[in-house]
Amino acid sequence: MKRTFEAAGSSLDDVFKAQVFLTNLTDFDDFDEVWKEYFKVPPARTTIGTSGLLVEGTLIEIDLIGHVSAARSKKQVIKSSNPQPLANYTEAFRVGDLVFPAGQVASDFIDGLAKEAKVDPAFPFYQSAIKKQTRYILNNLKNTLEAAGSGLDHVIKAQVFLVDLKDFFAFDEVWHEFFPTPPPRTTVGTTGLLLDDALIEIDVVAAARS
Amino acid sequence: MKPKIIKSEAPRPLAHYNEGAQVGPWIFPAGQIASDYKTGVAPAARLNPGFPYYGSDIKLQTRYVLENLRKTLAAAGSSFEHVVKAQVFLTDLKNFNGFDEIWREYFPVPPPRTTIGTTGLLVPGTLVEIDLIGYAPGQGVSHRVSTSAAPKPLANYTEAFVVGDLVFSAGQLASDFKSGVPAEAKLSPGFPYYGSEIKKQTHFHSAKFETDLRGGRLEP
Repeated sequence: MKRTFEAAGSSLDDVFKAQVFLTNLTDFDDFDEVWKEYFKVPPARTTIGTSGLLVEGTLIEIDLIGHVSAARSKKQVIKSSNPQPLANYTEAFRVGDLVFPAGQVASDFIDGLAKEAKVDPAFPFYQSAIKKQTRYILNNLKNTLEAAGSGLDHVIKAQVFLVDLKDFFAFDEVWHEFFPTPPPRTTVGTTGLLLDDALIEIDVVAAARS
Repeated sequence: MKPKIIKSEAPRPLAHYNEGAQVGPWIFPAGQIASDYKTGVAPAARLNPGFPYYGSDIKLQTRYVLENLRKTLAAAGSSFEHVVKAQVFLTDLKNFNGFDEIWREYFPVPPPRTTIGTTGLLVPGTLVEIDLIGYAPGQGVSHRVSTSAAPKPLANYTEAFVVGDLVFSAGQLASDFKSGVPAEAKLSPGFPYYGSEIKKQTHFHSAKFETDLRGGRLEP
């Protein structure tokens, strides 16, 4: 990747968005140790489990987007009041008119699954776990995008990773509340996410307001 | 910049999303599967049940999806020539080769692509979801192919495109595309507990010891 970006007049320092697909999530910690050696300011990152990659024995696929080193608009780090990730990545970057947040799961990065996103164990049948998680994530993404001069109404693309596709319908109901004009979306199943009990990860790209 | 919604003749999604959005020159279609959203897998993307061995499900589905994506792109004044990035989600990686055969018909210069296995897609029977990023020509953005000395992919895709100021790379695996996982990215079989396989693979693309062709120096 370093060579790919250098050949394109860019470098790993100019990468602002990463998607990482792992065949085994227990590899994450080791992966992340190596990652931090390569990125001074780590890109916004989305990491999900995959059921398989195209070459036998491969454990990881890494997908990056960056800008050329001479870009007129260089990436700016975006930080909102949201819980900050534990691992080596940045909440979001703004690059010119586009905003690239990291994929988000329903975590406060303190207790694992955030309290507000948990079903009350005393009333397990009175709430929907997927709806609570979706709502928690979309509220956080709203903060992230607003901190970048954008907003949910400026989302131009979404990718949704679901641990169980049976959660799709309830997820989509909450989605509808947040997006009167819903953006183009890709929804696929994943073998797992980096947080215990996480059912969903949401990854978006947005346009800046001005 | 207010996003514009793209609408074509392609089948309308059942759920809460739009077919595509455009902001400036950038076009973001929704991921597409081979469904007409009426009968599950679209009849045009199904084998004739009387002749189950004539034809290929994955090829029919890939073609159906790409024909719809063609409409989405066209509705935004774009085409496959201006696709700069693709992500492909397959329910069974054995379908990859059939998928890739159709892909090359549609993309003379295939865009950087990332292909991964997924545990499932939203319409039963669908085998592939295709997710593209493109741009509309004539709005100040163009793209060029960029290649480095990194191992060349076996399949139909390009290592990276530079598009305006942005760089879109293909997803990369720790493969030299000759021997699967190369020796540099593997643990020694005699010492399987010494070292970390994932660390070796993560290092592979950037830390492969290779003489830099231009400077004749050793890269880190």
